[in-house]
Amino acid sequence: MSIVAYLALTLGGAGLTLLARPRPSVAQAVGLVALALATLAAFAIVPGERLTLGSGDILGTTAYGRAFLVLGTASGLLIALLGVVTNAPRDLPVVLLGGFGALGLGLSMASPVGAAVAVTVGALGGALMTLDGPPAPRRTEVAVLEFRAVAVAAALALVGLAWTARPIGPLTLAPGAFGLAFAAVLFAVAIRFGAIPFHLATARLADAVPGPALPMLAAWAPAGLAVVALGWIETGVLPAGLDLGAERAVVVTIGLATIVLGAVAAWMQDDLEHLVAYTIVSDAGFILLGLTVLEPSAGGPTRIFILVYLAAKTALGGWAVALASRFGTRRLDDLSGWARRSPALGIGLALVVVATFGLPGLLAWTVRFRLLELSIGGPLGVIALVGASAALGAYVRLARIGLRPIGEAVAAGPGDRPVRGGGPGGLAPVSIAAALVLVLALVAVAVSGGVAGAAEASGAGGTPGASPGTSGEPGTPPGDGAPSPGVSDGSETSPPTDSGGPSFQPLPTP
Amino acid sequence: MSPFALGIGVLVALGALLAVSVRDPRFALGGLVLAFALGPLVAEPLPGLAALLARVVAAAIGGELLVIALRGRDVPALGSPLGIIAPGLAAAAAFAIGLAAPGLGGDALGSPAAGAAGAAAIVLGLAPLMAARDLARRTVGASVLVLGATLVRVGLAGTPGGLEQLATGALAIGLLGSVALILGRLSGGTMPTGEGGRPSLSRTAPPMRRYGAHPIVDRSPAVEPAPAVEPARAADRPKRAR
Repeated sequence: MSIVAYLALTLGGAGLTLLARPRPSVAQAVGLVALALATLAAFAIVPGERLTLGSGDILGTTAYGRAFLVLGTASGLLIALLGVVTNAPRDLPVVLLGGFGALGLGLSMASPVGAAVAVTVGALGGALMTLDGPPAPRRTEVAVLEFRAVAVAAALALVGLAWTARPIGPLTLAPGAFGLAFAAVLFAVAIRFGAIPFHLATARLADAVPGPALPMLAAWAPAGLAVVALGWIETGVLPAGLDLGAERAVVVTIGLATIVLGAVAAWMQDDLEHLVAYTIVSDAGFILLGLTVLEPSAGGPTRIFILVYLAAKTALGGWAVALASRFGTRRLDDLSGWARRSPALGIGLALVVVATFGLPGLLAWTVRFRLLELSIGGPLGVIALVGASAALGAYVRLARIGLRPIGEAVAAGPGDRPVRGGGPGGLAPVSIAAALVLVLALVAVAVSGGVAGAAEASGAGGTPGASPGTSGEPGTPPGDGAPSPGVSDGSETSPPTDSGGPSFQPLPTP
Repeated sequence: MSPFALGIGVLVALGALLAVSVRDPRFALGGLVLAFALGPLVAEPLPGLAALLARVVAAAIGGELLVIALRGRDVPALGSPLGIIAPGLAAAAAFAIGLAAPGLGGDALGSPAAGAAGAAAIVLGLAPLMAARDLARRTVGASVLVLGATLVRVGLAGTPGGLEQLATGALAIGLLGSVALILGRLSGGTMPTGEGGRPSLSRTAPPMRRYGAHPIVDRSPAVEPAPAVEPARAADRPKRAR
């Protein structure tokens, strides 16, 4: 069973790395090797497998799950390497391995409730990353805030998911309670993403957590819960056919506020990591919007947007780490002329922008429009679209700062010319960091464009402006297109999706 | 509902009550570990022996982490300023409601005692989580809240399968381990203190940056510069450095 190998490598690797913790260099090597092997294991996951355990539990694999884990573990490996050359805390590989192990377990479990428990375990491990380093009141306070956010979200998700983990029929007699369960799960996702007005923990997270760990904590871990929630909506909420207009309106409002205000907040920051954190928060609003669309056609675009979002935000986080490390400051005012000094990082930022917003014809572009259209539509959708474009402001500001005359701090830092140093292969760490950032950015661009190619090849390519429920829905992420357990085995408990794309959660129950 | 399940449910609620109400950290954290250890026993039907053992061992590991992290340290006092009576009454009311309304609008697949104990734990965990600025109480309250949610889940949807039990055990270790680490950091006497001399959230904070949202007390240290490299050569230097 291919997923078992992945889980053994990630969770076992995390354990071994922890055991080797007293010897930092050994622990670092063990962590990197485990991440590399886990990446290979993620590639080797065979979609459509089912493993029934002795207790009756089912572990299953899907094409989407494989794409999620391949992208995550490979990005994690690159981020860990970036951490090595930028002197990130030694526990970063442990957090990455443990986090992706928990995500892998959660995304392969049949029960949405069990999946929520598993992804919460991973989030807890990440929250403790805030305590890495010497004791400081700031870190402790942020750790408590993050711990509280994870706990509240977990409690909401567990109760909400459990409420519908029963025969749905009688539950429809209490539509109010059903709506509360729906809202609870979506609020849990919003809290984990730090959506406005729940952004306090995420905002402070950027102050305490090491830069390389920020995408894992602020994007990947919450995204796992979002995928679980999406699968639950498709199988636990849609079949009930209830009118949840009020609950949807509340969450759509939160999603819109997150997109617009998050973008404005990112634009106003003068700290690089704060800017990254708020752009992560801002784009998460689209995921919230996708979760509010109670139509089978929304699952595909939302899943694809999650992949694009994760790839782009990981690349942005890596870029910020490389920039801050090279010039020794996170203050934007001190980074004047960074793009002149380091054109490689300038190209990296440009690629991140392309991956984030896409270009006409790329799926990143298409799914943004599609999610807005499905969730809002009409004149309000146009307003939302204008608001969403405000996110570009933060990137434009970064570019303008980069093109200014070179400032003192930037002048003191190394340029792009390869210099010899103490890094692997004799290259200077800054050169390796820039190369890693370019690889991350290229991966992100490939995801936002390659996903589209794969989807179109499978006959489910998305088209801008297609009306809901029509056949032109993006549905298949990169992968081999093998049928997933959620749609292919004819299980009575797995309602068919008419999207034609793989449904990730939940897997059929026996 | 069997008397055994009801009795265990009462014990779990009492453990949660101790965790959030007693000032002495030893009793408070002991109550927390007790609640996590007894939690799986409140299910009907009981989980398999292996799952049960895994959950109990997980709680024991969590307790051991607390002992390791906090032994010999000056752990800040816990407990509610309201004492134990008021939270106890609130928990009793929640327990009664949980018993009276299992299923919350549908048929409960699990033990009503689990739902009742879960409701009591949620009520007990919410108060410090939402109202207290005391960081230690917030941390313990968050753990009690998640414990309550897992119990409500058992009450609503029945006894979890083995894999979910294993994941819940890992969750218990994660929660108790987090409590241990955070309380360990709060024990150093380096935190700003609030009412009663307890470590608390910083109430006021000087602005750190022009537009920084939600500034906190001390500014993050400057990012460490990149590892040493050869100094930039003249040809590599900017022409118009200002």
